[in-house]
Amino acid sequence: MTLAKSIFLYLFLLVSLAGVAQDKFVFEETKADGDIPIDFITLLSDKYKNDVSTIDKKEKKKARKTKTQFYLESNFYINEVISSGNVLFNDRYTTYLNNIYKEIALKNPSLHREKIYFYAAKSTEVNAFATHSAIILINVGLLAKLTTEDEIAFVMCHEIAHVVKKHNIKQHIFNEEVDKKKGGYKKANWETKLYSKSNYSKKQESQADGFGFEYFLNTDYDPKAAISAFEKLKTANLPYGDSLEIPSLAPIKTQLVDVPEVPNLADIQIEEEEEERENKSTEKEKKKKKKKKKKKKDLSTHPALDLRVESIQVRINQVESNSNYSRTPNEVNKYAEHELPHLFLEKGMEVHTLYCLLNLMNESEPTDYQKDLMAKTLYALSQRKTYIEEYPDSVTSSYKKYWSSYKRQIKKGPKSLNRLLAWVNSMSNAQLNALALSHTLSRIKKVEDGGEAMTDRTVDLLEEYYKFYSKEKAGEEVIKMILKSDEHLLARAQKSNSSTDENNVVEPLENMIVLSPEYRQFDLRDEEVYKYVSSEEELISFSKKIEKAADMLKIDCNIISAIDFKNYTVEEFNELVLINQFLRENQITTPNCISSKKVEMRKLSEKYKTNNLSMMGVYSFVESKPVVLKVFALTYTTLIFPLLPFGVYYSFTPLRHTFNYTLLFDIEREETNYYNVNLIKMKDRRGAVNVSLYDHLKQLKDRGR
Amino acid sequence: MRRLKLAFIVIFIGISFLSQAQSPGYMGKKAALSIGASVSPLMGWLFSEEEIYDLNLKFNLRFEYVVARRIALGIQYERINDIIYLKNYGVTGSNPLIDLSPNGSSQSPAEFKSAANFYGNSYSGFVKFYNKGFGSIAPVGRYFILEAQYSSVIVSDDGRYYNGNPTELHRLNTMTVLLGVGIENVYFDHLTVDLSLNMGLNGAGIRGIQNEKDYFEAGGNNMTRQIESKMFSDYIMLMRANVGWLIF
Repeated sequence: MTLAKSIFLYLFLLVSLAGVAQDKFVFEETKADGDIPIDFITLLSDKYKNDVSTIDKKEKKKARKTKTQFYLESNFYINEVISSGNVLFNDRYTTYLNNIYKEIALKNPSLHREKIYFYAAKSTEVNAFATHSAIILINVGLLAKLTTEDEIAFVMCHEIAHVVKKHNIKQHIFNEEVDKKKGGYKKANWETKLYSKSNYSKKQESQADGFGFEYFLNTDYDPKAAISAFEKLKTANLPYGDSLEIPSLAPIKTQLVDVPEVPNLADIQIEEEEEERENKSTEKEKKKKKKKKKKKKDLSTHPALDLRVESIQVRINQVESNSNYSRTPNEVNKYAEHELPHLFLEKGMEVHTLYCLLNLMNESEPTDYQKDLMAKTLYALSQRKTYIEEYPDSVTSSYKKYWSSYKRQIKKGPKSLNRLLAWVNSMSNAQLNALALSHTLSRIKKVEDGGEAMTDRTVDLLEEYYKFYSKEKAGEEVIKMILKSDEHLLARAQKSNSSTDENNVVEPLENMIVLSPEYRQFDLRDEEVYKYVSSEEELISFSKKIEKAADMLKIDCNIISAIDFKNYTVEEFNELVLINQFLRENQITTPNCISSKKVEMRKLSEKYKTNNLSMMGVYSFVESKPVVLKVFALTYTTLIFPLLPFGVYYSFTPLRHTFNYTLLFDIEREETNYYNVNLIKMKDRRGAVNVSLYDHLKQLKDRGR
Repeated sequence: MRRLKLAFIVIFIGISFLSQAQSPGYMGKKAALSIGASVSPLMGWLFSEEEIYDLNLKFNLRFEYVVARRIALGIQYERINDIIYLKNYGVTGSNPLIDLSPNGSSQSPAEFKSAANFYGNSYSGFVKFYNKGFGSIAPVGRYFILEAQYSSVIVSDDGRYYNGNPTELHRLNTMTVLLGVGIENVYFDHLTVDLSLNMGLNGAGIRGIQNEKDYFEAGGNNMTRQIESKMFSDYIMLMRANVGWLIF
């Protein structure tokens, strides 16, 4: 009996523990994993050759040319997207999507001959898109929005239909026809052209809805999920529903900082300017607005959602059976929801991040990840506001521009975001800084990895807080007390003040990370302006040139190039992703702000033993010479006739310009500390590129000497 | 002599330091040795009564060194090996070379033209300014060149008209200042190709093309005038092509 009791007790404890373990949701930012897929490794030139070989040689020459051009451009853009690092592979989302696709393909044997593959893209946009090469990208934003697998499956079927029906290439051929005024478009003006293209695209979308829905009907998913998917797309500008029920955020009381109270979110009234303006406007103005809206709708590439819902509903009614469907929940929805805040933060959309985090925190007990991200978001927001409002206009103009355009974007959006923005605006800089300070302080020493970066943020915020109290001529003692009471913080603050000058000392470049070198060739005389394939070939050799020049100058150089995934491990791929995220965020946040990726970037710095992140590239242009110049050269050299061969040569050769740039970014200081562009008025021959590249690296090597 | 040596060493060290500090060269390589040829087509025909197809070919050996980001210094040796047709001279009897126009008036030779060897050596120093506006960095890109050349030319008969004895007819030592534009590129990381167009003024040449009367009054004769005007036409517009190797 005792044994039975013991076993029972043991089992009970095991079940309870398992339950607790399941409840605790641990989230880590999703990264690519496993082997790098063939789609990432294959060069543009190879993909292009494969596609061109599929063109029927019996087709007319012009049609073949159009298709060739399409394959070239399309493959180029696919490669650009893939190499941006925003596309994941072997991760939880991609695996999930391809499992769903297996289900769809199982019930739709016609799809077996298509080599369709799905990838998840790290984008907040509620969107998905198909490419000609049967790669379909589904954004994380969409996976966060759609709560059931059935809805996802419908969207996937829609995209599959685009691939099967070859909509991409058809749209390209149609656009060419319209642009070159062929067939019925001989006398078309630009407006007619726009409408024609938009109508054609709408037709394709409707066709994809129809065919996609047929694929979807063959599966075991609930057909009505198509309607609910469309319903959710109506609020595509917000990751979740427009909820006003989110809790307010209060400062976290600590012994160190005496923070002032902040307004309660629930008390914030949204200025309904838009509605008021709408009510006040005259009939004429209302009509004008309606017309504008209609025009915008007419030029859209997609049909109105209501119409799409209607047509799907008709088909549902036709096939409706009595079977009861139970929808399968979206397995990755929770992960996608957690993915969004940091993706928004990287884009400098702090109010959106705040909105996502408050929603997540409202659902369950805040996790370390959420608290950490909240601290970073509040920090970014307070630093942005302080920088914009307290620094001179001349310094902050571009950031002010961004902030006002972001605010405008929010104003057009849902009420919940507007209320959050109003709440942020209702706080003084000191209040916002104090709120951020309290949250940031609460994360110090609690998050092992983030400790140092969080401490740096705290010191930043303390400085702002100190300025506030100094301004008010009160509370100076308080801040001194704060600093005195924490030795670690005091040491950091002192270090940060004293090391400002030390940091400005420029040191010779000894080692660097080179991020995705660029090589772009343009022939402005051609219809095909961008030289896709030759640019790729040059890029491969450009990376080697960088390595050689760095080697000669004894600069330790690690090239992380998006073109050369073949030789990469997934860790290196993820490093590329991280650097891109870091730079994107840095571009949009104000210079007084420490990146949310600081900790990871510091690890990367340690690994490569350098803080120097370099970006290098070549842009080469060929263009026709102005006729005046040609005539002048010919006339002049005819007069001095021994020079005539030079005149003829000059007149019949194009103008060539080559730009070579080098930019050096300091990871620790988060600022560009070297930038040089050399315009070489020559063809981008190896000699010209090498000499300029070497010159830039030599300057970096010799600086500070 | 010791002072000269000292000055030379100081200048060399100075240039080396300057070049170390400021010039990247081509992937660190700053010195090039090249050979080349220069021609001045049509100029002889225009200025010194030469044939229209006469190219006035000269060969050179050149060493240049990048001393600053956009400056290169160099020295050059050029070999002149040409023929001059002394138009107003003829050969008669015991005195083989007779000036047919002693009063200076031009006249065609009675029977044939007398061809004489026109040869010599030129030594020059030049400085190349690589153009910032064109984004040039020495030694690649477009440049301006300023050159000072010292030439020593001998005109001699090879012995045909002097009973088998080569005879020097005239010797000329003269300076030329050249100003030119050019473009240089590097291939295969070592091979340099340099094309330039130069306008030069030769000291003797300027004298040679002055007013005939003034020239003769100053003691010149037909032969010296023709030699000097050839010097003028050889340098007034000089096209030069050099192919070289970056050595260090």
